[in-house]
Amino acid sequence: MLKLVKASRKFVGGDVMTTALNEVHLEIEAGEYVAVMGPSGCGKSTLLGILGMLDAPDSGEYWFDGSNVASCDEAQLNELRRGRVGFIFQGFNLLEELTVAQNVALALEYSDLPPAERRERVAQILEKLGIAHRAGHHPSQLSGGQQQRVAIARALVTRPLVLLADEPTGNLDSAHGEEVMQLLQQINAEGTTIVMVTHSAAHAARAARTVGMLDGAIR
Amino acid sequence: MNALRALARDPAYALVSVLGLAVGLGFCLLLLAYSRYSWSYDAHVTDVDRVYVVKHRRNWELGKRWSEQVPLAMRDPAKSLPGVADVTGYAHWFPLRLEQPGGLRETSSLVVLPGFAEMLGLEALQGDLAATLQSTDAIAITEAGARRLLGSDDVLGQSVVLRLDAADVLVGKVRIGAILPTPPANTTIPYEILHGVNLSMLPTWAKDEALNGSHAFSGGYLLLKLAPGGSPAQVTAALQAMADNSPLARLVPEPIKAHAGEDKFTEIKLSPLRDAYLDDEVGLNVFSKEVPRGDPRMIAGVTAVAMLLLLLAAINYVNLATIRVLRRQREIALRKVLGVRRERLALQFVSESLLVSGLATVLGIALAVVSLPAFSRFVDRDLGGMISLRNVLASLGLGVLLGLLTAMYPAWVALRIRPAAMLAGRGGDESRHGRRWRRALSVAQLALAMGLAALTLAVSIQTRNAMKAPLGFDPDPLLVASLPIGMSASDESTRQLREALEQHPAIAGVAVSVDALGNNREVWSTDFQRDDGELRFFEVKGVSANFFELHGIAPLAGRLFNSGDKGSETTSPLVLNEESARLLGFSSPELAVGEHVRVRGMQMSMEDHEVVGVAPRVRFNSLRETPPPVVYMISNYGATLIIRARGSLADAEQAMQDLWPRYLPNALLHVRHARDAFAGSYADDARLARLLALSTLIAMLIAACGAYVLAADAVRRRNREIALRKLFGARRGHIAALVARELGTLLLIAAAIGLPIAAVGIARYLAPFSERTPLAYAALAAALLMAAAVVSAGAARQAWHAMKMRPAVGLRG
Repeated sequence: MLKLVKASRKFVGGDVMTTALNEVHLEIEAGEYVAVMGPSGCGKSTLLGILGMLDAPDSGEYWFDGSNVASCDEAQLNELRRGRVGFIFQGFNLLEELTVAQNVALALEYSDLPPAERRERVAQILEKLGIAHRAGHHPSQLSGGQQQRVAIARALVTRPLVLLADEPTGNLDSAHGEEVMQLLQQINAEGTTIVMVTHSAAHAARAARTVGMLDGAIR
Repeated sequence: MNALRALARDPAYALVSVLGLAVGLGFCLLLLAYSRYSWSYDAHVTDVDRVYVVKHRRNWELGKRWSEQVPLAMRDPAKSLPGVADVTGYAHWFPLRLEQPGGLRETSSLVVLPGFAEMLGLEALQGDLAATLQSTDAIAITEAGARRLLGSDDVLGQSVVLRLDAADVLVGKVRIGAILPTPPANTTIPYEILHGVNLSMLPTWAKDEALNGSHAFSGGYLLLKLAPGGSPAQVTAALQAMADNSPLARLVPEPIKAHAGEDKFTEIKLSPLRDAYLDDEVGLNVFSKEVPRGDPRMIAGVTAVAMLLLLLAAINYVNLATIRVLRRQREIALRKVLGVRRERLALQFVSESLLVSGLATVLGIALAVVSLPAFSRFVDRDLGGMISLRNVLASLGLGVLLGLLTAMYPAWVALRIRPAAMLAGRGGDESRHGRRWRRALSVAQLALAMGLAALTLAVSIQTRNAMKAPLGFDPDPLLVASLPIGMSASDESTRQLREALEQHPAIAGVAVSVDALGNNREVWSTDFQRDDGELRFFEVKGVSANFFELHGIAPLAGRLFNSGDKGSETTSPLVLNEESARLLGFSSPELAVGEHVRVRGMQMSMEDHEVVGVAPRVRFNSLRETPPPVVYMISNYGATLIIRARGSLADAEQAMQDLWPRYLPNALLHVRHARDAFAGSYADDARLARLLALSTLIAMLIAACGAYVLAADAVRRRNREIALRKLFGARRGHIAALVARELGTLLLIAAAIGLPIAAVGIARYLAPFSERTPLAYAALAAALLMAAAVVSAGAARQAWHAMKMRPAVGLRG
């Protein structure tokens, strides 16, 4: 499903060059639930960005669903990503100006679905995640756990093949964190591939496989 | 130093801020200079607030226009009225011409009555002014006049030969008895040469008229100075009583008096000298000294535009400075954590703002000073005197005030930054209220720029339309020349000149009229009556028999005068225009032909004249005036020659230049293209259009800067949203549309505010025109398109950055 071959990513800031990923090999099968762990600055988020095609490796290969996408330009990556990859962030990244339903619908705005079907899908996913009663609220009117549910709803509404979660419980208390972890397990059980970056060994233990990272490389 | 270092760290910001503010301030200063120049006309006159111009209106004349010229006979009795400190006057009857080896040179001269120098507070730089103004052979000259006419201002005691610009050949050698300071450019009493009434060259009747007013000739200007505490209303009432009982009132025949109707025969009014420049109710006659006049509404408008442009520039700077504060939030938060005090932080922003406004003010003043000569030519006013230490200090004060005011909001935003939230990555931002306020200011910027653009285009379109409006004849092959005061086409020398001109191969013909086209100085009017119908009071155009032929005007009915027609004011056949025929009761032009109409002659009797034809509407004046009812009669007493070129106008003009001095050696030739004579009616409109165009250019530049700031703000604020949208598949076009939608909404709101106001302004501008082009309202749509283009240009860079932004970067913040 996802395969990195000798993938490297370097960042240049002034005279300093930082190697965020150093010849990484990683293969993730369809339907797998993989946790990525490691200290801050080890390259976890960079890895997730490349897996989600938000960024591209400077060298090496990245195979996404059978295609090498390492040399694709931004527009091509955009096309590949659309509707196939879902994202969940530690800070939720919800837009305060939009309601819960509008935040979720944002993920379908550039799809080819007719408006009626979009509305149907949004209603279904909100119902499924237990936040339908909050559809007209704005993010600041919700608890942290509810906000992350909205973010997960937004990630799932496109019915992606892969769900990438960047410390999804980082901003939540333990009770809400546990709720989110259960939700992810349920989603994985329904067939969605999940790659989750986390600092929590307990949460990593909920995944089928844990990948450790240090200084841009997989241990 | 800290402020300087902070600016030096961000040179692009410093450049945009300083330049934006400097251009706005510089142009604002130019407009304010123009407005101050206009409001301070005649301010140099001693105790100017107590000096009044005596005006009168003859209600028995057609049009009942106010005139600044009154019978000088009023001077002596007015001096003894209670509340009056002094009365003096001046006249412009016979301008002096300087005779030099190269030929005659025109001068700006006034004959002044006793007390003139004292009332205006004039003191000679050299020589004895009082003695000169009483002398029979001396004149006073200004420094600038001496330099222009004689090449040096060291001319005291020098003798010059002067001629009177008149029918009589009056020439004399006079001595320069005093050198005067040059009056400021903004005066309604401009002069280069002053002389008294005793100058030997003056005709005896003129001296008599100036001193005793024995001819009751209304050709001089009276200036009246009130005593401290004197009441203008009481003095006006006393002068009015004087006019009511004047010998003239008894001499004028009853049929003429009847035209005054319910009004007083002659009305008198005192107008403050300070307001003379802005007095738009006075008309001109052949003895008027032509001085520029200003429209108070236009000057108030220019002042408002100046302040609004400064406001636009200030809004722009506030926006820029606020965006900069928002970009520096982390730095500010860190400084707060390190213990900087609120006062010190506020002081940092105030000092940065003062530095920017200080640099901008110095640059703005420099820009204004450098461009003042060009701007003076642009507005056709000599604004050189506006550069003074006082004005420069006032401009610096304005800059400091601007710096303090514009520092307030960015400093407030900086003080509100919460360091804990900011450093924890939960980025504090400007409050929603503050952001709305700034956006409202940006909308105001766009609305003003759009409104100005619409008004500019409308004024330009209407002015262009007016200048090209059909006149009823083709003015392009015509030249217009005025004869000297006191001469007419029936004089022998003029008749010979006409004959010589008509025989010249470059000239197709010469016609005569009482007044120049596009001019309305000499209005001749009398009563007309058809059978026993109502008496009608119409303007009479006295023209030569070939007038219509020369202009190429065809009749509406019957025939027009032709070269074969003979006649004079008493025997002339009549040609009516469409309007006069209608008012005399002819239901169609054809029905007037061959009919007889009675005309009141010089002896007040009604004489029978035959109507030979009806002429179409001919436009003698600007589009602001509805063409009046006119009756044409043959007259040989006109003082305007109309010359039709056979080929090129330049050849005809050269022929005039060659022949004129042979027959009228005592007079200077004033010849104009007929087209220019009409264009002169729209000089104010053209000036307004030019000023507005320049203001619009500046406003649009500032608006483009504002659009840049708005777009930068939108992209910064919606960074995360743009990244998310890209994440969900938005293409570059979608992001461009997102930015365009945000700015487009603001543009439409600005249009909804600015364009209706502009439409009202356009309607008010067009109201006085008798013919208005509907195209003027297309200016509203054009202004919207122009603003859209400017906003697009201003926002393009930021939109491009947003389109290129990688989602990962945007999500990292």
